[in-house]
Amino acid sequence: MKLIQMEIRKVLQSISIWFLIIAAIVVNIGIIFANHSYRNDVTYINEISGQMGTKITAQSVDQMQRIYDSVYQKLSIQYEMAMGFPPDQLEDIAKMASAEDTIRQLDILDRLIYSAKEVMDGTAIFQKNRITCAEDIPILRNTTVWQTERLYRRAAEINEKEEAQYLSLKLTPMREVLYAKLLFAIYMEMIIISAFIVFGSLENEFIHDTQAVVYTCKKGRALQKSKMYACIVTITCYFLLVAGVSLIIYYFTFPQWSLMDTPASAGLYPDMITKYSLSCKEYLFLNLGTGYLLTISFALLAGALGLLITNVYIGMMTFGGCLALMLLAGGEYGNLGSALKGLVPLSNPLTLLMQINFSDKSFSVNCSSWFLYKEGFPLFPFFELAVIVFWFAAIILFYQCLWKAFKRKDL
Amino acid sequence: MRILFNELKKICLPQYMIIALIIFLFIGFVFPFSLADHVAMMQKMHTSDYPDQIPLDFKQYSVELMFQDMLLERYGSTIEAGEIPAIQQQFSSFSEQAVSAVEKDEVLKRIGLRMDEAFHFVSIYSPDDEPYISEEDQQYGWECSNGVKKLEGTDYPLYFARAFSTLLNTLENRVKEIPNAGSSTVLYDTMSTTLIRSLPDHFIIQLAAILSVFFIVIPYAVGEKRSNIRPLECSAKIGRRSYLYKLAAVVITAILFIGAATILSIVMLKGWDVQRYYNCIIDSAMLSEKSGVDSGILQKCYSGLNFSALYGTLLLFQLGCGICISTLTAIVSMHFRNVLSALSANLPFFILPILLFYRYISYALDPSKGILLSKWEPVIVFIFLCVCTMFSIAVVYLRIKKSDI
Repeated sequence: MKLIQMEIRKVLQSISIWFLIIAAIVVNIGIIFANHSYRNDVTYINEISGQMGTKITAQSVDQMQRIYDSVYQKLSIQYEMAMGFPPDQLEDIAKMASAEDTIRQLDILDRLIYSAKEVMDGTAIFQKNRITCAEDIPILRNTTVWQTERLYRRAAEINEKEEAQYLSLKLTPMREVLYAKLLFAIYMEMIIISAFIVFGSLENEFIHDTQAVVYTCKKGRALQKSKMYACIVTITCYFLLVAGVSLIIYYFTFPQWSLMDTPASAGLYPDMITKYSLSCKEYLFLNLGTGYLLTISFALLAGALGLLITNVYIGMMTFGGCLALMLLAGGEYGNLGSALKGLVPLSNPLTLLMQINFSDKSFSVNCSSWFLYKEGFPLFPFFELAVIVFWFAAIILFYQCLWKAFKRKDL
Repeated sequence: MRILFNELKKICLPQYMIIALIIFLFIGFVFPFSLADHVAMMQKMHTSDYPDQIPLDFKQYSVELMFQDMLLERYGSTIEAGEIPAIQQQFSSFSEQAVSAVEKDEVLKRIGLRMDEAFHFVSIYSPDDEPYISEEDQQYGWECSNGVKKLEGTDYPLYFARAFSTLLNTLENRVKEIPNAGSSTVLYDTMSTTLIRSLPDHFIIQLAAILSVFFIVIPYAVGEKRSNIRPLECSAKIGRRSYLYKLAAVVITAILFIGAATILSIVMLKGWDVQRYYNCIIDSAMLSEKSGVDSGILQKCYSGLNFSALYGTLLLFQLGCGICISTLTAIVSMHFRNVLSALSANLPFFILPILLFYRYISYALDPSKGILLSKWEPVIVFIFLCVCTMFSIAVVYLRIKKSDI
C-alpha cells in the first residue's frame, strides 16, 4: 500500500503530465468557446422550460404561442412606426438591427412551437423500420429477431411514457458539441495522457538508475504492479479533473439545468431514440462511465506493452501503432468494406470512439451514438458494454500473460 | 567532421528510423491521401484520356481542367481583351452544335421534354426540376451537365457551355473594371481551379516527413542528455563544440528526411503531367469563387506567382520551417532526461507545422477562404522562425561556453 501511495505521489508530481492536463483543458475550453454563438439560444430555451415546465402539453404550447404573439405584436408596432407600414413576416422585422436578439428568440420560440405541435399531433414518428441491424457482428446475426423485437418494445415504451413530449435542445447543435466534440476530445486526450502516465511511471526507474532493483528481486518486480495500480488511481483523478472542469465550464457557458432531468430521447426524437429509458443527466453519466472504462482499458494495454518492451519510447510508439491498427481495422474501405466485414468487426475500443471512412476521406465520431437506436449502428442493446467488457477481459488476460513472462525477464 | 559523422550515426538508429518511416507512411499516405487516391488523381489530371479512362467520380473535375486546357491551347496562358470576339464566336458555334445535338438526342426525345426544358435538363441539371423523370434518365441528365458524358455530334461536353458563359461574364466584368482596356490588356489568366485545389493534399507528404523527423530527433536529444557528457562540454574545447555538431547533425537529418519527401512530392507532381501550366499565373484560379469573401484579401494570397513558382515557394517554405522546427525541438529535448517529458514539452512544435500547413497552404489555396493578411505573411513567419532558431542556438551555446562544472 505504501508503495502505491509513493507511486501515486510521483505521478502527481510529474510536471510534464500537468502540462498535458492543462493543454487538454485549454483545448476543451477552445471547443466550448468556438460554439459560444449558441449561448443565447440555449439560455432562452432553458428560461422557457423554467417558466412553463419541461413537459409539452396543450397548455404549454398555447402559452408559448401567446408569448410569441404578444412579442410579435410589439415588434410589429415598432416596425410600423419606423417604416410606416406593417411587416409581412418575421424576416421583415429581422432587418431592424435593434431587435436582433428578440427576433432570434422569436425564431426559436416559433420552431419550438412547431416541433412541439409535431410531437403532440403524432406527425413526428420514430421510423423504427428504418433502423436496420448492422451486419458487422456475425455472432449476433442469429439474434436479429430478438433485437428487432426489443427495438419495437422500446419504441412502444417511448410512446407509452411520452418520453418524446419534453422540451429539449434539439433545435440547437448542442448535442453535437457536447458528445461529438467535447466528450470525444476528453476521451482522446485521456487515452493519450493515460499512456504517458503509464510509460512515464515505468521509465522512472531507468531515469534514476534503479532498474536493476526491478529485475533482480521479488519486491522490485511487484513494484511494476504497484505502479499499474497507482496509474489507474491517478488516471481516474485526472479523468475526473479534466472531464469535471470541462463540463463545469460547458454547463456554465450553456446553462440547461432545467432540461437535465428530461428524457434523453426527447432531444433525439424522431430520428433516433435511446436504447434504455434514461434522463439527459443519466445518459451523460453513462457516456462518461463508458469513456472512463475505455480510457482504463487503454491504460492497461499501455501497461502490458510496458512489461513487454523495456525501451519506453519504443513501447509508446508500439502503443501508437496499436491505435493505428485498430483505426485501420475498423475503417470503412468502400467496396473493400464488404470483404472485410465479418473478418474485422467494428467492435474494437478505438472504433467505438471514432471511425475513418477511407473511401471518402472522412471520419465519424461514434461516442455521440452510444446507447442509441440509430441508423447504421448496431442494434444489439448492450453492444457498447459488451465490446468494453470483452476488450477489458482480453487486455487483462494479455497483461497477466505478460506479467508471467515479465517475472522471468532479465535486463 | 568525424564527430559529425558519429552524431549522424547516433541519430539514424534503425529502430527509430523504422518508427519514423511508419509514422511518415501513416500520415502521408494512409490517413488523408491514400495511394489509390493518388493514382485516381493522376488519372484525373490526364485529360487526354477523357472520357473512357477517367473514373466516374473524377470526370466532373477533369472536365474543368479540359476546359482550361482548351483555352491554353487556343488562346495561350493569358486572355487579352482583343480575344473576346473569338471566344464569343467559339461559344456561339458550340451552342449551335449543342442545340442540334439536344434535338437529335434519343434519350431526351424519349423523356418528351420541350426543347428549352431538354437543354436545361442536360446543361444545368437539378433533380427537383423534373421529379417525374425515371432514376436512369435523371442519372443521364446529371452525367451530361457534369461533363461525364458528351452528347453525340458535339466537340466538347455540355459542361463547356456553362464554363464559356462564366468566362465571358468574367471577361466583360474585367473590361468594365478597366475603363481604358486596349486590345492587348490581359483580362484573364488561364489556370485550373481543380489543379490549385488539389495541391494541398500533395504537401501533406512533406508535412508527414516533418512530423516523423521529430520522432528521430527527440529520442536522440534525450539520449544525449542522459549520456552525462556535461563535464566534457564544460571542460574541453572539443566538448563545447560538440553541442554545435549535434545540432548540425539534427539539421542534416531534417534536410535529408524532409528533402526526400520534397523529391517524392516533385516526382508525384510530374506524374500529374501538368507541365503545360507551369508558367501560368495562378490569379484567376484563386479568384474564381469569391462568394462572400472580399476579393482584395484573395488577391494577396500568392497573387502574381506562376504555378511552378508557387509550388517551389511552398515546398521551400515547408522545408525551411521543418528544419527550423526540428532544430528547436532538438534544443528543447536536450534539456530532458525523460523521453516522455520531452515529447509533451514539444507538443507546441508538433502543432506548429500543422498550423502552418493549414494557414499557408490548405486555406490559402482555397479561393473561398483567403485568410492571409498580406502575401508577405509566410515570408515574415519563415524569417521569424529562422531568427528564433538562430537566437536559441546562440543563447544555449553561449551558456555552455561560459558554464563551469
